[in-house]
Amino acid sequence: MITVNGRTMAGLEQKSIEEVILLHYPYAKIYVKYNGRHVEPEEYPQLILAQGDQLQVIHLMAGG
Amino acid sequence: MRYSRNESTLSAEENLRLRSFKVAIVGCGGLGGYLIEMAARLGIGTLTVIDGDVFNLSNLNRQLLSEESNMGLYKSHVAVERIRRINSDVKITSVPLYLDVNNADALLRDHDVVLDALDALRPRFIVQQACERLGIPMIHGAIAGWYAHVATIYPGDRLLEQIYPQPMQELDNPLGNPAFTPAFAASIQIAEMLKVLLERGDTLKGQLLQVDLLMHRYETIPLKA
Repeated sequence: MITVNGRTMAGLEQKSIEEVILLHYPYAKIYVKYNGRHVEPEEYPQLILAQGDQLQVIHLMAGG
Repeated sequence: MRYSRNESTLSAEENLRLRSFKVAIVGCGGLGGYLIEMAARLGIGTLTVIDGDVFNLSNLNRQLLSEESNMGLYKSHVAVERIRRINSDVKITSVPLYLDVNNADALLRDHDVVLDALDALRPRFIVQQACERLGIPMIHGAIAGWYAHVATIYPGDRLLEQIYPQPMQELDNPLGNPAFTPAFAASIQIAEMLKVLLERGDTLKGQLLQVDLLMHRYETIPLKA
């Protein structure tokens, strides 16, 4: 299982971070951490999720 | 009688306690207008409303306190006038200034909770630092288009550093803000404020509630506090 934003999700093994983002996080500006490490957009296609991985995707916004 | 419809949600004792609390609201725009309104209608005893901005036409689509008749007036002054008409028991003070590193401690000292309704990142970090020094919980909220997030930040937790990449850079907001997003996020912030003040229920301490209202995606993201 892969943990995304603190929740375990099935069916994400072997998917790239880019695929997960395209599927679930259409918001334009995001802050992504992969196993606790901040990753840049150019890394998204190369990073393939595996059992036990943790992904955090935070929408960046500051409006009030 | 004024609070009778609150009394099934909050006990009589809790309703009474609300009058003893002092809450600061930093920003009197989209989020802030709703926060001020709800805090006053709940009967929070003392409110300090802080904003150096004045109303302009682009505020009318969403900012509760804005009206065609008050363009150019200080948002914090307008807030005081409105709340005095709604609940004259509330002691409300207008501070028509922008919060900055020089005035943050003086403006926020002695409050029980600070509600973050700002629209830029730098002052949000200033509020977090001041709240940490002063030992005050801060309820952070931010919005963009269909999206919103809320976090409850206790002194020392420094969640903003977990939510925003460091070094901090200001964000633009090409999505704008429709009326329902600040109303939604402010409601969550007010519920958090009540739970922090009354020590009830589960709060968003150490977590970020991230909401996508377009796709109805609601996530509570654990953050390293």
